[in-house]
Amino acid sequence: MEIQLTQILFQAINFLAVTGALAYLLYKPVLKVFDERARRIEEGQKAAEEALKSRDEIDQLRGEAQTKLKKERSKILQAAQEEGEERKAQILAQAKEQVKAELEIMRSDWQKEKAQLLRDTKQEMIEAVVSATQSVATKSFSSKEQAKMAEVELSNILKTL
Amino acid sequence: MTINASLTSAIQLDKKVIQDLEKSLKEKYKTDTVNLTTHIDPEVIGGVKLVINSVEYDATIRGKLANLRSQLMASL
Repeated sequence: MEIQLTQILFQAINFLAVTGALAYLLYKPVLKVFDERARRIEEGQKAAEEALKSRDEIDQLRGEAQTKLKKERSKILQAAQEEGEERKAQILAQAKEQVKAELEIMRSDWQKEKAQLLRDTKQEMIEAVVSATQSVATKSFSSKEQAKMAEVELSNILKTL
Repeated sequence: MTINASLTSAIQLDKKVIQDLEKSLKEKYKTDTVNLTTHIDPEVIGGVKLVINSVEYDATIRGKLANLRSQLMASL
């Protein structure tokens, strides 16, 4: 095989022409596609990072909200318990006062009833004693004693005149 | 001046007792006229009740018992 310099030159020029044409026609669009792709990947990464960051922020906010919620709940519970205790104490105090007042009324009524009962009993005893004495006295004196008694009493009356 | 007197007793009293009473009343009130009426009431039990011109002197057992009863009742 014989090497022909012209042929080699032609091939070289042809190669250079094709290479130049390709470089001119394809290099920039391909480069642009690569750049575009790299840019999109970078944007995707940024978006992913942003999303991760947002998720972290959301998690943090959620945590803070839950902590705040717990504190609020605890405060509300404590306030409710305190109010409940206060109300309980008030109700107990009121109940004690009512019971005390009712007991006082009952005691007073009982004392009155007792006093009345005692009075009634004494009255009945007096009536019984007087009645018994009268009954006994009616049967006890003879005519002679009656006459003597009358004379003595009459004498006493006359002394007072 | 006339004295109106009433004497109540459980039994009939001796006349002398009544006469003595009339005499005593005349002397006490310095009068010659005493209208004395006597009553028998067994309910008085014993003693006498003398009423002189509407003034009552109760010395009967019944009256004393009533007085005792009133005093006891008043002490309650």
